[in-house]
Order: sequence, then C-alpha cells, then structure tokens
Amino acid sequence: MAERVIGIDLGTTNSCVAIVENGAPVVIPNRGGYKTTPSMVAIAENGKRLVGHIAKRQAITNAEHTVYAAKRLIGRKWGSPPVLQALESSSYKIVEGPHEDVRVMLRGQSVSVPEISAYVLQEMKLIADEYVGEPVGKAVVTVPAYFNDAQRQATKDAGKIAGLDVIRIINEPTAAALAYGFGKNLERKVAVFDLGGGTFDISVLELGSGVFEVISTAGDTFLGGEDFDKRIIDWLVFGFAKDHSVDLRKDKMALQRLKDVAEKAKCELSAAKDAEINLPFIYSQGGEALHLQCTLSRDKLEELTADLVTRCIEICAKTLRDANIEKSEIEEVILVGGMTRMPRIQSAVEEFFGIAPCKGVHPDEVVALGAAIQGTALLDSSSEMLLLDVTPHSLGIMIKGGYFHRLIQQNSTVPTQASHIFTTVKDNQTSVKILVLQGENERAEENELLGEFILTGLRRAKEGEVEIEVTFDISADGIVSVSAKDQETGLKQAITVTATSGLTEEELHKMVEQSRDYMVDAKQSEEIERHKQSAEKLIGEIEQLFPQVETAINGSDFGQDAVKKARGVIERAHRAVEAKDVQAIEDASEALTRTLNMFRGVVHKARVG
Amino acid sequence: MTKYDGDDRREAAACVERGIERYSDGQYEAAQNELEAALALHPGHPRALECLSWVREIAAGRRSPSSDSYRAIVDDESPRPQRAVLTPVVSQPVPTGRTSPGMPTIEPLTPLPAPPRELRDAFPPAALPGVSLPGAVPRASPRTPVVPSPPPSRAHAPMEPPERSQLDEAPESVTREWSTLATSSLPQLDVPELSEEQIANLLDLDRGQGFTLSAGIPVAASPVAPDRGAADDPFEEVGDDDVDRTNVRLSEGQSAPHTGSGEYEVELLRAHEEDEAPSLSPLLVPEPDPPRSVTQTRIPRPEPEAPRPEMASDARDDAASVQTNPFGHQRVASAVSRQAVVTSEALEAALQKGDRRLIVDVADGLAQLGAEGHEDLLTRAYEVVVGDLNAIPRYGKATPDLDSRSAFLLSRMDGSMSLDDLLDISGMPRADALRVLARLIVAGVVVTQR
Repeated sequence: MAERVIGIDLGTTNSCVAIVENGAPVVIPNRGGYKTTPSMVAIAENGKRLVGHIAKRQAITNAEHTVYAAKRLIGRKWGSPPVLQALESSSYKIVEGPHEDVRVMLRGQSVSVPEISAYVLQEMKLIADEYVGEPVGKAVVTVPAYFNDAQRQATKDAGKIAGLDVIRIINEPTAAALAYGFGKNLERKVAVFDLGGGTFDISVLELGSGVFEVISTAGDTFLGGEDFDKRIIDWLVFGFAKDHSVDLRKDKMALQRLKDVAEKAKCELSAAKDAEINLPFIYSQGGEALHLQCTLSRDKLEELTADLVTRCIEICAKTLRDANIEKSEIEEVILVGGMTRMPRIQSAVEEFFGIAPCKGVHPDEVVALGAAIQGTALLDSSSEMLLLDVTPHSLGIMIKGGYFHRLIQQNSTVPTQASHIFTTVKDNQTSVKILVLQGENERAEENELLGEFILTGLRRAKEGEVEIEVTFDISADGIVSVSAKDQETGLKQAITVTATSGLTEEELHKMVEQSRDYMVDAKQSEEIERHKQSAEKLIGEIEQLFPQVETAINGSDFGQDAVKKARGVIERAHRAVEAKDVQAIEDASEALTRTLNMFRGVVHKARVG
Repeated sequence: MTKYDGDDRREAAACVERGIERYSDGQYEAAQNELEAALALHPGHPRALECLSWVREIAAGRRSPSSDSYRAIVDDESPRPQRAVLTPVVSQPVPTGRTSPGMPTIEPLTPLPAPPRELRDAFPPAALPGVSLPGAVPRASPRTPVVPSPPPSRAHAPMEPPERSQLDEAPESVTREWSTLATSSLPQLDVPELSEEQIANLLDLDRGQGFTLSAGIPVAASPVAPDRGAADDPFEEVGDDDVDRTNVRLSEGQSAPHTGSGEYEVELLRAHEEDEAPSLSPLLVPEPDPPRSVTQTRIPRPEPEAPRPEMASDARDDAASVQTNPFGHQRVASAVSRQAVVTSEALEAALQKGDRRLIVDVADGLAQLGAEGHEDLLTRAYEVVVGDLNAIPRYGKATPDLDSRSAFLLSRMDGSMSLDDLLDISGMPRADALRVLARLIVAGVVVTQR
C-alpha cells in the first residue's frame, strides 16, 4: 500500500486533518463526528491530559491549566511584542524558557509551546490513524504566511514530538488557494480572506499554470471569532447584571456556559435572523435559581461587532496598498475560517472588493484539504504541480544609525539570492559586525535578529574606502546563508541561519521519547480497559447462570466440580483485572468464554430435558 | 431575561416546607392541605406534586407511612411501633377468598401472576408443581385500595408472628384488602361489610400471613406488594391459569427476585389444597400456626435463589420503577439539623441496603455534619451511586429543580463523554463533582449507558 500523507491545518483555535482518497481530498472527522478539533490542551486536576473538545468544555473552569491559541506563541522569543500581549491576556501562566523561549506552566510543570502544539498534532494524527486503520507517518502542516523561520521550525518540531514526519510546511493561504484551484486550470489573482477563531490574515496570490505564488500577506494575530464571542458575552453579562445585579463573569461555571452559548448563538445567526439564548439555573442567589433567557438578533450582533468587521476591512485595504495591488486586480476572494460565514463579513468583503466572495470552498476545511493535496503531490513524482513559497518577511542587516537595510524583499519567491556592497563607517575600522535581521520595520531593533557574525582583518583605511559585499542566500528549504566578503582582500566570513524553535536537540529528543512513552501508556490503558470490560461482561453472564446451573446439576459430583472450577475461573479473572495484566485478562477471558458456553449448555439441557 | 420565582412561588415553596414538616409529625391531613395550598399558588410545583401524591396514597390507604426506607436509617423520632398492625377498618370492605367458621362467605382471592418466563423455563410447572412466585408484583384491583406494603428491604430478619396484644395496641391501623394482581378480565370484587367478629377472625388470618422485617423495623407483612401501576407490572403478558386462586405473602427466607419495585419476599399459598401439597422446603423459616379460619396448603418450591447483585443493580438502575418517598431527603435534612442520627454507620447501612437515593441522602447528611474523617466513605458512597465511570451519561427526565453547579455539569454532557471525563471537566473538586453527579443520577436527571 502506498504511503499515506495527511494535511493538517494547525489553527489558532481549531485544527483540521484531511487526506487524499481516490484522487480527491477529504476531511477526516474526529471521534465526536466533528470535522474540526479545538486546538486546546488542558491538564485536569488528576493530571490527565485533555485535548480538543473536552479541553474546550472546561476551558474557563480550569482556565489556569488550559492552553489555547498556543500558535500565537510558537517559535516566539520571550519579550517579543506578541508574547507580551499574550502575557496580558492569557489566563494560563506564561514563563520564560531556558533559551529565551516561551514556556507555559501547567500543574506546576513547565511545558514548551512546541509540546503544546504537539499534543494537538498528536490528536490529529490519532484521528487519521483511526480513519486509515494504520499509523500515518507523514504530514504537511500549514502555518500563516507571516510565520518566520523560527515559528516554522517550531511547528516542525511539534510535528516531530507528535510522531509525525512533517515533509513540508506550507502557508495557509497557499493551501486554501490549492484547494480552491484543485482540478481547475486557473490563471488569476485571488485574495484569501482568512478570519479564524483567533487570527485574521489577508493574502493575495497569483495563480497560473499550476503555480501558486503568495504576492502579499498581512493580518492581525489578535483578531478573530473569539472577539466576536466576547462581544456577545459582554452583552449577556451586562443585560443580566441590569436585571439581577449579578456579575456572571465572577462565576467561572456561568462564564463557561456563557462562552459556549455565545459561540453557538453566533453560529446560529449566520443562518437565522434570531437566536434564542437559554441558560437555565445559570446562577443561584439566596437559594433561588436565576435563569438567563433572551433573544439575540442578527442586527444586534452586527451592531455589537461592527468595529471588528471594520478592522478586518482596514487591514485588507492596507495590505493591498502596501503591495501596490488594485482592488480591481483581484478576480476572486476565497473565504477561509468559520467566522467568514457571518453574513455581515461576507457583505463587507463584497463591498470592499467589489465582487461576491467565492462560496465553492468550505471555510473550515479548505486549508487542510489544500495541505493534503500538497502532501500527495510531494509524494507523487508524476505530479506537475509546482508550489512556490515566498519569504514571509524582508531580510537584511543593520546599518549605521540603527537602521535596517533590506537585501531580500518580503514575499520574494524562494530560492533566492541578493547581494549589496557596504563600506566602513569609521577611519581605520578593521572589523565589522553583521547583524542579520528579518522584518519590515525601518528601525533594526524592531525587527527579529536571526544571527550575527564579525568580519575581521579589514585594511586600515579612511571611512567609506573599504568595501564589503554582503550576500543573502535562501535555499528552497528556507535555510538562510549570509556572507560578508572584503572586496579588496577576498577575506570572507559567513553564517548559516538555521531556524530554531527554542528547543535544543537534546530537549527535542527527550520530548519525542516522552511523547512516545505517553502514547504507549495510553494505548496500553485503552487495551486493558477493553479487555476488562469484555471479561466483566462474561463474568456477569456466568454469575447470572450460576443459580440455574446449580439447581440443574444438584446431586451430581461432576457438576459440583464444574461449578467449583467456574468459580475459580472467575476468581482468576478478577485477579487479572486487578493486576492490569493484559495477557492474564485475555487468558482469563478465554476460560470465561468456555465456562459460559458450558453453563449455557447445562441450562439449555435442563430446560429441554 | 427572566427571574423564575415570584412571590407566589416563594410562598408555594414555604407551603411545601410546612407540608413536609406536617408529614414528619404524622399530620397527614395537614400536610395534604399545605401541599394543596402550594399547588394553588404554583400549579405544577414538582415537589408539591410529588409529596402530595405520596400523602394522598397514605390517606387513601394505598400506602403505609411505614413504607419509608429512610426511617430505617435515619428515623430518630418517637419510637415507632415495632410491628405495624393489620387492623382492618370496619368501614372498609375486606374481600378474601377464605371460608371461615362464623363468617359469611367471602369472595375468592383473585389470581396471582405467573412467574417470570425465564423462571418458568428453568422450573417447568410439570417438574415443580406449585412453584413459588419469584418477583410477583401484584397489581391492585382498580376499584379497591391496596394493602400497605412493607418497605423494600434486603435484610433477612427472622420472621415471627405478631403478638395479639401488640396487634391490639398498635397505634397505626391500616385498611387492607386481599388485593391481587388484577387483569382486565377479572371481575370486580363485591365484598360485604365485616362484623367485629369477622375482623377478629381476619386478624387470626393475618397472623398466619406472618411478618417480615425491614432494616430492623418490623412492619406488617402484606399479602400483596404495593400498587405500582400497570406500567410497572412485569407480568402483563402472563395469564392467570398457572397460579389461579392463590395468595401471596411476604415471608422471610424466600428468594428475593428482581421485582423492579423493591425486594419483596414472596410465598405462594394455595387454598384448599392441603392434601395435594408436599411440605415446605426446609430452607423456609418455620411458619406460624395456621389460622383456624383458613385451611392452608403449602406448596413446595424450588430452592430459593441467592440474591444476585445484578438483580439488585438492575432494580436500582430502573429509576423510574422505584418510587421513593419524596419526604426522605427532608427527613434526612431534619435529622442532620438535630445532629442526631446521620453517622458513618448509617451510611454503611445505607450502602448495604443498596438504595441509591438513600445512600445519597444519608451521605449528604453526613457531609453536612462534617466530612472530616469520612472522606473515603463518602467518596465510596457516591461512587457506588454513580457506578461505572466509563459509562456515558445522558439526559434523563427533566427537572425544574436544579442548582447552578448541577446545571453546569449537565451542560457539559455531550453524549460521547464518559462519566470519568465529566468529572475531569467539572470545574469542581472531584469529590464535589461526584456528589453532584450522584444526586443527578438518583433523581433520574442523568442516566448512564455503557
């Protein structure tokens, strides 16, 4: 059987897994029948790891030990603006890791962000394993187009911890465009409007002759469906406070229920004009039960969230402006993310772009489907599909005055190379320090430092006389090489920037081992439970027959002996179950089955004869 | 947004509380009045409805106040009669099928149900004539009240007949009839009113019927189990040919079959067949002398089945079939308030009885008095009630009486999550979550499924 590869949309709030079957990509539903799984991880009071829907259902009541939106933190450095923002808004504890990375404290244990994402990926892998019927090893995982190398590497590491070989990381808008263009020979410029649960991304892609190129991408990592939910929650909370002078936000259980119902109402309002909100027994006051019952209209929701919609459109306008793209150039708008089902979002997109958005793709599934398509194409040597990735951010070095000089522009297609000649800034300067940076800000310190090196042995001369050529090279695998060469002497110094997730090789290896052990334990527990249930069922049936059998064989020595043996078999089965010994339980089950058959025979004989 | 309770509702709740107090004091009529007042203020008040139904059954003689398993565990009120008495009320007709010297002919007894099919299969009538009836739950005649039944009990105390003096002194008198498992084809009884003498004879007859004990409190044995209504009758399809003209009584030592309505010990008696019948099984406890008014024949039975755990479990699982005294919880609360009765021993006793609602109420009572030192016992008690943690909880019957924590737990259920998972995500300490879940289960609000 050919090797299978899955496509995983590792989202900020929800994840989705897809596979290509008989040439067509399909989404794999999880055990609950849902096609998306919340990207949430929690550790319960008893230390049990909870992932997905079950984690979401307790996210507020166990807020300190439930990690959501780990994607905002993955591959980030401690102290970076998104981490500082997350520090302010997260209910779980974020701490600094040993390598300037970000860690999360869960039940007293420091857990790295790639590990958290690994738990989600592991869940997606299990869903796929169950569907395929055998372990799936390879995966294509999607990330936002703006993810830098460290974030991409961290995502790859997460896949590794989860037991997956991540054969490619692709951009989410690229994956969406792939699914959109699958089976069609399209040549057009498309915009991918991706409003998910926690983030908003807008990307413009050029599609043509099987090539999918991201021209521009931008977004807001703190704008998504959850902000819409919060508006509904606030409306409900204030309404309730007005009626009963009770602030429901202070009651975690009430707040959890509010969160659930707000999301549900929001989804309902995509199809209906009104949504009934009914939360009986939401609060007890003075021995009296208070209930929350109201109706939320679509108009009200739109009123509550108007500024959020405006923010999305403003980001779209800025992105097009920055990329010098006219709205009229966009021939298709692909909607991605569950929030884009909201009618107001769709109408705002239509108003802005002047064209009705494409409704031919499923907003929750399209990215995973695209990843599955890409994965299959990568394994299929006959595939003619060419996927070009671009650098998500500009690359350059720091120059005099603390400014940032770009050598490779944002959205440049990789592989690529660029060189530039610089001069010394002081008289008799014999060395230069090259700071390799990634970002879009004019100020160097605002951008991300990828690495640094020093070129020494320069000729003593007046400032501006010594010329140094700096070359940036990005391979197809995304590895950045930077070199500096003294034009006069030929002296050269180089650095290879390998993205790091913040984990050392040793740490990564240890995490992979731990993850493997966890899976082995989980499987073993599952197996024990299955065998235990089977044995207990047999014991129950035998015990039910005991009185009849004893009556039927009364007076027979042989029969008495059989009954005694049967009791021994049951006793052994009980012991095996207590010892959690799978083999012993299996053996006992066989003996129980034989005993049961014998008992049935005795009872049958007594009845008929 | 609405607030559920108004002034009327609050007043209704107060009426219910007063009704419960009256009930506890034995003032059933006053209790009934209070509960009716509650319903007038808040029609459909679930607790009022439930309690009123109970009190009305007592008032109508269809239920004995002693049929309250809570009393066995937590009753610390004035000493109750050691033996409830079968003293027929003169004004009430007492149909029997016996002929007694000096008595007018009394209508024959109505037939008993046939044994369950599986037992009939196991013990064919041909091989075992006159087999006793396991699990008989007679249904009352539609027009006649049913004799009060003893509380369901798994305790096997020695059976002894009541002393005549005790019968005379007994404070409680109840109306009783030889109620039967009626089928639609059975004629209604037309019974003449009895004289004092006849009643005295009947008392002799009662003595012959014996008594059984429930959790240490002797109560009147009943010829029939309480009326559970047609819906609860497990023998609807059984004809009356198998066991016609028989009578049932509670007897110690009999098999305790799964009846779906508690554990009643049943003995089959057949009138006018003395000569045909072999002697009783030696496993039966000695019978009292046969009443002079009755010719009694004892029919041999197969050896009684040992009570099987799965039977009890099945009975408990069928929440709808077990009607529990709605005043029970209040009684436990009352006991708790006096800090008198609820002890770890009481909880152990409740656990032994296996009545899940009783376990929860007693455990709650114990917890309210202070769980210190009893944490493990309480957890064990609630775990017994909750059952298999791998089972999937589902919504059972709706209830308008919840607290916000229970409501939260209910809102987490999704039809695929196990009880164990539910406890994990409850947002409460596990012990608290177990307690809330146990209460929901005994109330039938949550049902479980493997």
